[in-house]
Order: sequence, then C-alpha cells, then structure tokens
Amino acid sequence: MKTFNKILIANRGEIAVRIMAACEELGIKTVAVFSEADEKALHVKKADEAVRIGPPQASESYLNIDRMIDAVRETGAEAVHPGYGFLSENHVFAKRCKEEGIVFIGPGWKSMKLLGNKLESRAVMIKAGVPVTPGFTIDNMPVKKIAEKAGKIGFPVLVKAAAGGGGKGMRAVHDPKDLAEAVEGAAREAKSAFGDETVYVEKLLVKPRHIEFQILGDKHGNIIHLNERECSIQRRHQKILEETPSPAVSKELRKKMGETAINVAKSADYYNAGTVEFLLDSDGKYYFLEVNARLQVEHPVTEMTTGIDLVHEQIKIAAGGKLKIKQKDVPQTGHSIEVRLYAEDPENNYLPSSGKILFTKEPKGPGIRVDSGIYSGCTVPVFYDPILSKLIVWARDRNSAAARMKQALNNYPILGVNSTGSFLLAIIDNPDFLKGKLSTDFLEDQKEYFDKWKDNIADAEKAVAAAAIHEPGSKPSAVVNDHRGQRNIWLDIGKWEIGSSIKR
Amino acid sequence: MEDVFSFRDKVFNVDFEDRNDTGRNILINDSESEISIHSQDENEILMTLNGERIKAYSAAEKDDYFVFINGRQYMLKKHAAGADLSGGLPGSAGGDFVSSPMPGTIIKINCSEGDEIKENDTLVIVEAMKMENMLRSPVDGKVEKISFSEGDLVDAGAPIVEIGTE
Repeated sequence: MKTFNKILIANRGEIAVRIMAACEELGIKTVAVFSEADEKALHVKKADEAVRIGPPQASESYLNIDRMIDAVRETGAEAVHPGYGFLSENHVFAKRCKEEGIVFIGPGWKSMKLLGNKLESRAVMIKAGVPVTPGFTIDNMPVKKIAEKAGKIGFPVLVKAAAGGGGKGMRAVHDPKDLAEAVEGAAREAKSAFGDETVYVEKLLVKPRHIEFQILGDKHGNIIHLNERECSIQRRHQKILEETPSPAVSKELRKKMGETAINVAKSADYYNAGTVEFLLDSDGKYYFLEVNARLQVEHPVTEMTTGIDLVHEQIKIAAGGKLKIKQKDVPQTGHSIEVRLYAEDPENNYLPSSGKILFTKEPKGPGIRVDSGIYSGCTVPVFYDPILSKLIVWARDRNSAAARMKQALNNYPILGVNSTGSFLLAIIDNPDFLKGKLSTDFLEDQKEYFDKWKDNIADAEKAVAAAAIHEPGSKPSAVVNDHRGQRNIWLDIGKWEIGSSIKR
Repeated sequence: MEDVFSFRDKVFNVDFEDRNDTGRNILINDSESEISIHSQDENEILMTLNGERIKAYSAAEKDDYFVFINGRQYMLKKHAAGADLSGGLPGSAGGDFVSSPMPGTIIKINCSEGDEIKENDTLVIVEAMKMENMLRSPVDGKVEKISFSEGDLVDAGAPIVEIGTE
C-alpha cells in the first residue's frame, strides 16, 4: 500500500538508523535531524537528507518541538517517527503534529496523555476489569488511616508519585513505622521532579518477573498482540536483557495475559505499536504496570520470533492502513534474546563512558542481528542516553539462543570506550539465567557471582602481550608463523604466483 | 627494549627475546613464554601464547591501549620505558582533589572555598549521559580552591575542588 513519500525521524542513534532501514525497504525517503554533537553520527550518514536542529543539549535539539516542526516544514516530510525516548511519549508534540497536519507515527495524543498519568490510567484499567496491584490513593489522609489501609493490603508496600517515572518519587516501605516518612519524602520528590505531589500506595511484589506484551492496533479498531517479552533482568529499572518467549509463560497464561493486554489497549482507544507491561508473581498472578506508548528498545526479539516488522506496521497503520494479520495467525517460532550494549563501565559502578570508538567489528552469522548506532572512529557524546548498540540473536530454543549470544558477544569488540559487553556475557553464563530463574532482583541476588566475575582478570597478561605487539613493524622480528608455530616463508613473502613472468 | 604497561594497579614489564630456532619469547615481569604471531593487521592479532591460541583485537590512542580478548576489554596504560613505578602509578596516588571520572556538566557545587569538609561529603554533582554522579571528598580537610562553576562542562580528571589537609 502507498504510505508516505518522506518521513522525518525525530531521534538519533541505533533506533534512528533502524527506522531509516525500514523506510528504505518501503521506498520512503528519510530525513535525519541532528544536534551539533551529532554531525558525524551514523544516523546522519544513513539518511537521504539531514537537518541541524540545535546545540548538543537535548532540551535545545531533540526535545525542541518548535525546531522539530520547522525541520518537517523545511524538508516537506509528511510524517514524523519519534523512535523511543525524547519526544516519543510527549502528547503535546503529538497534538501539535496533528494541528500542523503532520502525521505522528504513534498513538493518538489523547491515549498518550491518559497512559502517561499512572493514577488516571490505573483508574481506567480498574474499571475495565484489568488486574492492578492492590493499592489506594492518599488525599490528605491521616497517617494512621494510611497505615491501617496499607496493613490491609500487606507490607511491603510502595509509595509512588502519580506523575512519576524512572524511579523518582518512589519509596519502598517494609516496616509500618517508616510509612509516614516515606509518604512525605515521595511527595516532596514528586513535587520537585514533576510539579505534582500526588502520591499513592500499592503492594510491593516480592521478586516478580517483568512480562510485557507487544500490541499492534490500527485506526479501524483492530487490535492484536504479538506475544510476550520477558525483561526481568534490570538495573535501576533499566532493562538490560530481553527475551521471548518467557520461560515462565505457559500457553494458557500467554492467552490470558494477551487478552488482558488487548483489553488495556482498547480501554485507552489505542492504535499503532505499543507495549503493555505487567508484573508476574511467583504464584502466576499478574498485575498491570503501565503502557509504553511507542516502539520499544526491545522490539527486535518480537520481530525475530514472529517475522513481523514492527516499524513497517507502524508506518502502514499511521497512513490509515488496516491490520492484515489476525490474532490466530500470529506466528511464534524459536527463541530470541536481545542485550543492550551501553557505554558504561560494568567494572566500576556503571560509570558512563564517552569518547571515541577506536575500533569496532560487528559479529556476523546465522541468527545474529545488530542494531547499532556506532562505527569505528565515531564519537560517543556525553549528552544522551549511553546506548551504543543492541545485539539480538535467534535460535530454535532458549539454550541454543544463549549459546549463540555468547558466541556473538565473544566476537563483538568495541574498543576505546567502556561498554557493558563483558557483563552481558557474565549474565548469559550465569547458571540461574540458563535455568530461566529470573526476577527483577536478579542482579542483587547474584551479587556474589558478579563480584567474582569482576575480579577474575585471568586474561590480563594475554592482553598485555597483545598490546606489546599491537603496532605492526614496531618490533624488530615480527615473525609470521603458520599454525604449527613453524616459520613459513610463503606466508610473509607477500603476493606471488607460480610461473609468472617479472614485468618491469 | 622494554615496554611498561599497567592495568588497574598492576604493572607489567614486557620484553621480547629472539629464540634461536623460530619466533620469539615474551618476558612479562621476567616470566618467559613462547609467542607466535600467525596474522596481524591494524586491529586484529591471531597469536599462540604458551600453547594457547588467542584471537585479540587491539587499538591505541597515545598511551592508552585497548585490548579485547574473550569478550572483555582490557584498558592498559603504556608508560615510558624504564619508568620507575615502584612508588605507585601516576594519577592514582590520591591527590587531594575531587575530579569527575568522565566528562560531563557540573549541576551542583555543594561547598565554598574555606569550608571544612569531612571524608565522603558530596562536594560536586556532575551529570553525564542523563545520570547524576556524586563526587565525594576522599579526605577530611578544608576546601582550598574551586576551579569551576555550576553549569560548566568538565573533562575527566580535571580537578574541580582542591582540598588542603594540613
């Protein structure tokens, strides 16, 4: 079907590159936007045209709505793809696009606004019969009453900001005597971070799993789900490794949770691609968490196991197309795992790292996909999210996928800045991970394992040897040996041919 | 000629020695191993070290050497040949100042020149890549000099707050 002639991608890094690839496949021209820090970034090189939108600070470039609209006007793009992060869940931007006659590739701004408010969306979901974690709102409730109600749902509880996100304005309370202070603290933090001091209390689940469902809905009321993803391995609410199918989700549970996810989407009049997040308890009970009203970082694992290109679908839906796939025809083949390579130092408290990538080489082979925003010689700026690239593998089953991931990570050098690759390898090698024993507390529970990994620097001497011979020709006797360690003159003589005549 | 590398707080003295038959030996801190290089280009080395076949990727910028072996990157520092590192590595011997471990923007300075401070007091908050990092005092002392203001961009390692300890 005919969609658009030209799309502006209001994002940077790997996701911008990935969206541009989908546009190219659909015969759509692409426009990149870039800040002054990104002049030589990969997404700028990949696009058909590129517009400079401002200084390095995101607030003055990738988050600047006026400038973004100007860039659309200047280039004559008909639609905007926001990617994830930045303006992707900004309902003001989505509304502004609509007013300006620009197609926003995402859900309608009203759905977005509703889903952005935790308390409001929670109320809508309760009304629609969606299971949410037991909890209650606090409106000038005396502390005694709060404690009484919290006691009823059972400690531990979580005090959360209605407008919250990213762990801000959130307090876990294990002991009733700490409740008053937590409510006060969360409200204060919420007020300073979001300008809204409304907080509520909900039950804190112990060692839950994070299970989310990919949904796709068109503007004609058709909604399907594309199975689950498990993203339990997190650090500070930041996902690190995602996979599908989840080792904890049976066929029956998938059907039930999938139906709930569709119910959630319908209750919010949702269209385009989205993700419904749940927490799954150890006893198989699940609770609605939130909706991510955009394309997710971890969308590739769903693409690998269903064969459905989510960005293609997003574009077609935005152009008014009807979903062609019926729920019963959604495929699910094999197992896929994704890891996120961040520019952080896993051996030093995950300190962000920036600078020049001196060398990188992507792993290749059957079932290996790399969604990358970097290249040898590029610079990683300090101003943005430190994601460098994502490594995704597919195989017949979970064990084979883990083995393939291990092999791929072993062959994915990123030199010059710190990256989390070796830490991801340690996760893949972890016995509990291999058994599928996961929870959102995985990293804390495995602290001893990871400390041991950090201190194991058995290869340091080998690295020193490699560094010492790094510069070719720097050593007087750089001898080339064949595989038996014997000197073989045919290997270092250079190009030669039997019987060739010497031309002068 | 000897090369000197360090990794974390370990120092490695490296030397090569021609073997009379084939190839060379490598001496790392006086322990000797056989080394054979099978292929080498700018960033990839295939070698056998003490009978173990190793594929390594390497890159260098000035004195910083980066080597990737078995999925892990080793960041090494090269030092002047013959450098005496017995007294500790340069830069790592706790100079009494606070600096940012990575380039970023100073979003808050919690002290003024002349303040008495305690070890572990948060003196500066630096933001890099959307994350706030607390820079704490390594010692008890007195703030002698503050070289930056809130909102400034700082490089990794640049002293932001200098501390006198008497």
